[in-house]
Amino acid sequence: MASYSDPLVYVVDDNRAVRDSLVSLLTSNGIAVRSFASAKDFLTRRAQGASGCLILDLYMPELSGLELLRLLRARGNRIPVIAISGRRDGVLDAALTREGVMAILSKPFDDKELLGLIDRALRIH
Amino acid sequence: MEPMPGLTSSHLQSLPGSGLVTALIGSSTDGVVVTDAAQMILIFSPACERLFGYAAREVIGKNIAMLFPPDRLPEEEALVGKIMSGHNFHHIETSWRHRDGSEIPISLSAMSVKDGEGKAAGALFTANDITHRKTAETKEAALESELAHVSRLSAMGEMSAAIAHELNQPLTAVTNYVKAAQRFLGADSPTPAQIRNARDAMEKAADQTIRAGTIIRYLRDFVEKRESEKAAWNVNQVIRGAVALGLVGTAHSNVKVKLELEPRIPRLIIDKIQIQQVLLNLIRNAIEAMAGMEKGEIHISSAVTEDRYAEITIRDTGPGFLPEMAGKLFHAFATTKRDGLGIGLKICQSIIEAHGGSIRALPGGPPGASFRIRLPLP
Repeated sequence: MASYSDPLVYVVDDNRAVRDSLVSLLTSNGIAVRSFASAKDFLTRRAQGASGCLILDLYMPELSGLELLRLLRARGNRIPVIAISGRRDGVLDAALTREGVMAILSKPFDDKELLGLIDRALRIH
Repeated sequence: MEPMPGLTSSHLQSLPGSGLVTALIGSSTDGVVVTDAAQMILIFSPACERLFGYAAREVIGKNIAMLFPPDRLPEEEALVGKIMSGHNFHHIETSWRHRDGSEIPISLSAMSVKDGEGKAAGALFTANDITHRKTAETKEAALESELAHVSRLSAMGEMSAAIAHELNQPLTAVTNYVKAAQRFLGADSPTPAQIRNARDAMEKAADQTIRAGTIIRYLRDFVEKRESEKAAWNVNQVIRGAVALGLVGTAHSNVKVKLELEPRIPRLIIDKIQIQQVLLNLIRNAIEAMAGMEKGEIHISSAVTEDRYAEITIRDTGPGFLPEMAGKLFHAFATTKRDGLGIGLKICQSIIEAHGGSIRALPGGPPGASFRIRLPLP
């Protein structure tokens, strides 16, 4: 896999272990990564206009993954999104697809699948 | 040897109407034992012969202590002492020893027999066999504990999606950490930094497997089929366990739990799993009631009352229940849930009552539902 110096992968997940382990996984693959514990944290702390891709947990308190995604799209932000979730729900899946997510991965997921998706996202973006 | 004061066999025989007394004693379905002041058996009724397996001639003239189970000898002798000093007892539950060594559960009444001058001359005991009642009680307790178990299984069934979610988190983390470690060490000659990173990731992976294991152990303890078992437990610890279990799979929800626990609460003699089950039921009800609300809080407090009870109060900020529902909450099949059976609170009540306590819904006050559990201090 190519190594990316500038584009960032953002991880938004309220579970500390999942978040931290994703940082390890991506770092070990030479991918620059920044993580956020909540959707609100992402909205306030993320460098505006940065490119990259977003790995987004769906079940989070306050602002859910879907709500964050809708907010970003409403602001015209087309960042590629890979949704990750510990449980699946048909209605939610459909709503996410309508918002144009690249993929929805069930936790726990295969690292190759995730890395492949990130690779694609960073190429096209 | 001086004759014993008070009652004697011959004395009894010579009483006016002794034929009637003998007939009465003989026809009684309760076992009747009469002793003299020195606790020697004078009369041992036919019902007693059947109950304890001795023929009257084998026991007459012997000390009544022969009927007491050896491990409770001091208590029973103290009781006899009290009777001799004039106390009467009605229907106390105890057990006496059968000739074959087994213990017969009885309901015992006893009164002192006074001589003409009002001095204690002996004692009269009536023993009623309560084996059937005891067996029925044991069966009922077993059924109740079985019902509590089934209800725990059903609670876990309802929570299965949440449990899967809860386990998925550490499993996801483990997978990521292990893959990261592999990747760090994948280079032909890993740098010291990469080795350090890999080691770090493996350690975190191990922490997460322990976390997943803890969740599983908790669940296993909860659903395991077992006899009701009471021991001394810190109720605050039991509350914390119930909260941990109750919050399984709800990290994404907007429900917060606030604890106000009295640290100096004495240990209670309780079946920890059953009390946890009651608390879990109330916590899950509260979470369900507040689903879809922007914010929800569950307040749980523990306190000690002046009349020596531990009091646990659980209050939520949900919609609460209608006053007309309040009285029916503890009836079986009373439910406002679409897919609920309505036996949860009924089971909670029988568990708490089996602990000598009480549970009730608190009326009025701030919006939301409030429940108060009272459990006796030892």
